[in-house]
Amino acid sequence: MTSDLFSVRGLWRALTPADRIVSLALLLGSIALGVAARPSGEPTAAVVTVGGDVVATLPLDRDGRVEVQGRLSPVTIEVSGHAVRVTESACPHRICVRMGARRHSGEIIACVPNALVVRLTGGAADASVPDAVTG
Amino acid sequence: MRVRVPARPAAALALLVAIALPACDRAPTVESRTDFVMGTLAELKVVSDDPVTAREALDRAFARLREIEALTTSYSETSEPARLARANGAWVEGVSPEVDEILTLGLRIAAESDGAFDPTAGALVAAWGWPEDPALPDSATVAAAVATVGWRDVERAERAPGRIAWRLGRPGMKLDLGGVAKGWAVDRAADVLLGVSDHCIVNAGGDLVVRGHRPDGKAWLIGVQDPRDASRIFLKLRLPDGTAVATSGDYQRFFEVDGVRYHHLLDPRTGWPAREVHSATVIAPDCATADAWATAAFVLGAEAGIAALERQPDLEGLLVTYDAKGDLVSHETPGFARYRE
Repeated sequence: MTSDLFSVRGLWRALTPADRIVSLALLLGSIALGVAARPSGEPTAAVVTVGGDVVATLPLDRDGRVEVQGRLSPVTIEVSGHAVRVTESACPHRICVRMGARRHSGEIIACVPNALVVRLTGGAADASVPDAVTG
Repeated sequence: MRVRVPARPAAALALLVAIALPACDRAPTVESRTDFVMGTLAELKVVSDDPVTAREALDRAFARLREIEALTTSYSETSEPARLARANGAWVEGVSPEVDEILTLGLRIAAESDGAFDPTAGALVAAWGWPEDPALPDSATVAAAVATVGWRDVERAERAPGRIAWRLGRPGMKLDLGGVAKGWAVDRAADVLLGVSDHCIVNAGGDLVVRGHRPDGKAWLIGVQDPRDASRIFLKLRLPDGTAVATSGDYQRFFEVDGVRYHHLLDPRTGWPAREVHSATVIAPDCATADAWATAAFVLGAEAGIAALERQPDLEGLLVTYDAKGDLVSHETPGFARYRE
């Protein structure tokens, strides 16, 4: 018996019932593994770096405040309602404070004078969140 | 011609493929890195299915950014702008190809914008103390600094192929290449990343260029910051392959004296901050052009700025002002809308 390799119907007809069960199980298992391996949902942590070194990792499921020492001054970072923001900084223009809260995976808050970056990590990238911001 | 194979081996092969496919999944992902360079935060992203190669390219791209920063900064005695200023009107030989190209572009845009952008405004920027220690100068200091500014008084000579000399022709004249060099550096960093991937973004403090597209096949999505509220995105743009965008705004760097806000975007012709526009976003084929024209359009004001952008091929722009009630008013070139999300 022969069948067309590129015809799904032909291939399906050539399989025994047992083959079909095994095939379906494998297919569903592969899909389930693929879905499970993908990150999903909201970001899980805010990683704070100063000069490229990680100085704090803040879980986003616990509200609180932390003060880290930047290059220029202490910087206060607040986690609230699964979002992160810089609330205090003695940098000249306080751009980091004015940036407000960030809540999507991959988003960052930066303080240039303090060489500080807060980056939201974990979770799936949200396709509606811009890849970059100009301003 | 159809290929025919025995059924059982075909089924076995299909099953093997079904099992192996997820394990062999090397879908392209975005490798990114951030670091501080050129006085701002740069974020570089490259789409690749080879993380090691991508990370090496990111290293090289950041090295290129730093190399250009060292050549062009106004805040180092060893940079080429410092060398040109020290020459006090004499010719300076052996100017690097990088500074030669940046200064040539800057002077061209100075001419096209009637001096609203001027790379010779270094002494004026210094008189205001930007960026480190800004303070309100008196009128005499501003007038003296404006007297050193003049794009028409810069000369270039090519002694031989590749041997370039420049001369700053006014007493006290200093270059400030910041308004164009950052964009140019962004373009060169993207060139480095293109060596390993057709798809990348280089973003240095909001001056950015995109190549290719996102891993999902869609054009890169770029947010434009709300001039009134830095925590908000004012609009989103879809930028196709080979497009750059830059924004100049009065809300980033400023100080207040007696309730008056003084920002860092100075009109080189008057010496004082330009007042009408609050945010100028320019889309161009390259970031150096977008960078310089964002400043020029901001300084020119809404009507003249849009008119100047319309005269340039391949440029689109959005200028934001406030009305009497404090509401945002958008002014844009006719082709800008096609980039809106």
